[in-house]
Amino acid sequence: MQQVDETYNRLILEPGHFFEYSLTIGESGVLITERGDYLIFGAGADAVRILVDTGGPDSGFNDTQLIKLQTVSTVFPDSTPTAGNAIAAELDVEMLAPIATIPRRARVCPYVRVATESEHSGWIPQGVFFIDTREKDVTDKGLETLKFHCYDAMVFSDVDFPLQTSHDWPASGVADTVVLADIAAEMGVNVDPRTWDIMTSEYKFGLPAGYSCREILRMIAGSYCGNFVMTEAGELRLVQLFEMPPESSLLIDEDGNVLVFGEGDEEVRILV
Amino acid sequence: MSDKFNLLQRVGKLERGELASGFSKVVINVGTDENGDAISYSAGTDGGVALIINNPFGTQQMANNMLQIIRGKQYQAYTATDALLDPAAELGDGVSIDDIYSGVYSRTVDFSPLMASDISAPSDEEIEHELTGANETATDRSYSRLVKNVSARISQTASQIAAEIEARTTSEEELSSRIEQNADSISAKVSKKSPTGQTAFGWDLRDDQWTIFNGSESNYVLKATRDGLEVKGKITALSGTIGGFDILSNYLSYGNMTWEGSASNGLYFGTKGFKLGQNCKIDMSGNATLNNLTLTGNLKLSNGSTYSMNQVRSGVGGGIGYSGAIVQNTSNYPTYFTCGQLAAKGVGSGDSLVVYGDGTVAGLLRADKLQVTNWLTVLGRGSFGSLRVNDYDYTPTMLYVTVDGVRYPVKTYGGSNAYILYHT
Repeated sequence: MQQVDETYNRLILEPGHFFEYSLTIGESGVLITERGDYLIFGAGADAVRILVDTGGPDSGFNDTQLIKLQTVSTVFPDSTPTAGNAIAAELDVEMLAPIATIPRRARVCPYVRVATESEHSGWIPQGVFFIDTREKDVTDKGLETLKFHCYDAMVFSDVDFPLQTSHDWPASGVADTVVLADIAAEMGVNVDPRTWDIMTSEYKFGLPAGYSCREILRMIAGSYCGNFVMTEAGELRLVQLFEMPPESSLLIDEDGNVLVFGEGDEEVRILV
Repeated sequence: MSDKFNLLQRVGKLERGELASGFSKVVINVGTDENGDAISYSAGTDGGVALIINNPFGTQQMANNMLQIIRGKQYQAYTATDALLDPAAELGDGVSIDDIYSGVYSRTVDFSPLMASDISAPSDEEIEHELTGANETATDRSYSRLVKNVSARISQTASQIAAEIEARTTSEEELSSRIEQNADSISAKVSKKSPTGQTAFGWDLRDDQWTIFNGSESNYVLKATRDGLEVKGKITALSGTIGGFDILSNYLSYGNMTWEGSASNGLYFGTKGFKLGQNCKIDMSGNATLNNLTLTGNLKLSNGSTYSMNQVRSGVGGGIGYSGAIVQNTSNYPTYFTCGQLAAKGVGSGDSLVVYGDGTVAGLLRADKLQVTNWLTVLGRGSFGSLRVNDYDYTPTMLYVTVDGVRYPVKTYGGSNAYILYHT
């Protein structure tokens, strides 16, 4: 589970809560109105537009511009449960075509937050993606729309493993943690800290000349009975088969919340 | 560690899949050997489900560790549509839906105020296999390009980069190659070890030379330095130039000379013989054509005769010029002596023309002293200072010539020290 703020945890238990979502595109942009028109200050030769940073989800595209927003993420490549995979998640967007030019392979990030009528939580990311294909269309009402299909950073692992590393590569091999760090650097991403907690065996790798980073990720993942994915925050993470907590049978309410009796040190839950 | 979420029945639809048997075995496919046979490491037994992975760097310890992770674990398949799962949930988190508990292994989220998602632990009908290897697919076999008995190592330090590959092609034959780079040299070597011995070949590059060696670096067959190229062994060239000479397929040539050529300053050295200009030619049969011949040493004939070069013997039609006397090998007298002209000019009081056996001079005979042990026929004019017969010197005034029984005095002709013998 992602890290969320206390407001999120509280509001998600509130009856009648709902979710708001936002989509940021690119690393920076131009200040625009709600309708997507540029804000122009001055006139003629003195006309200027305000260049702004993306500003995060607060200034992203919301349901007024987004027609469809869907993410697909999976651990296995098909319906067979296996280990040793490195699957890229996908994002499909259909939106009213923005005025601004969206650069090639632009960074696209969906966000979501829980809200009630009176308040809302902070935004939590729902993935870091990069545009692969785009298509323009026109609705029945004459509105120009833009569709694009995106993948997360796992696709950047489809490159040859860098043979020029900053460290030695003795004949006895290099630990898999070092190899993973090399791959993450090559992909331009960080490694989720939970991955290091799993990779404690430090299996040795010979110089993997001729292999892609993705192939090596698969090897590492398989050796720990797991699979590599990109987290919602855009970090490389090893997910093991059966790493979820053991099932427990506690007395809960109709919403699935565990019933707690007592307070503080005397707090108890009923195991049934 | 992941988290878990209890959805109760907050899903649109739930499809329960099989609860598979527990995992009981792990198989790591490493690759294939030179015969195409699979190489793998395994741990566990065949009583349950096997987890099969591909890893060319796999080891037995790795298989043992993997078995410890998943032994006995059971995979619960399911598919839940329109599940109201917390958007903060991640892949790998646990989820309880109604009476099943499994993990979130696949998720499709349609962004909306509800944020409903389709989640699943996918499965197919082959999830449970009673035979190991049933899960192996064509993709699993893609690592067959790695040959088990080939190992490659690259070691890199601040001062050296070395790459070495060893391969065992048969049980008795080993091949290895090594490339080494240092600050002052770059070298490469390929070696082969077999029951019959070991061979190696390679090259070594330094700041002042480049060598190609056989066996060891000290045993070079080719060496290039700033001064030129040195080769130990055979060189085959069918074209080019060397020392100004043109290299042709079966001869060397200078000045475009050929065997039949007419160049006056050319040279031919090839399979037909040796030719220098137009006045010197020796063919493969040993026939020599020369304009002039000057010998300063000894002349040895095939019959064993040896003549010092103040002693010259001429063939018929030719001429002999010498300073000194002719002395034939006393142990091997020729049966005859024939020449066109014969002249012996004395350089000292002891010089003479000595003819052992028969001799015929078709032209001029001139000698300071003439000694004949048998017949000497002069068909032209002959002149001599004295004639030694049987160790006695006769001056021309002491000699007579008989013709048809008529005795004629010997006349002389010529200046001092020279007489021409003739009869009237």
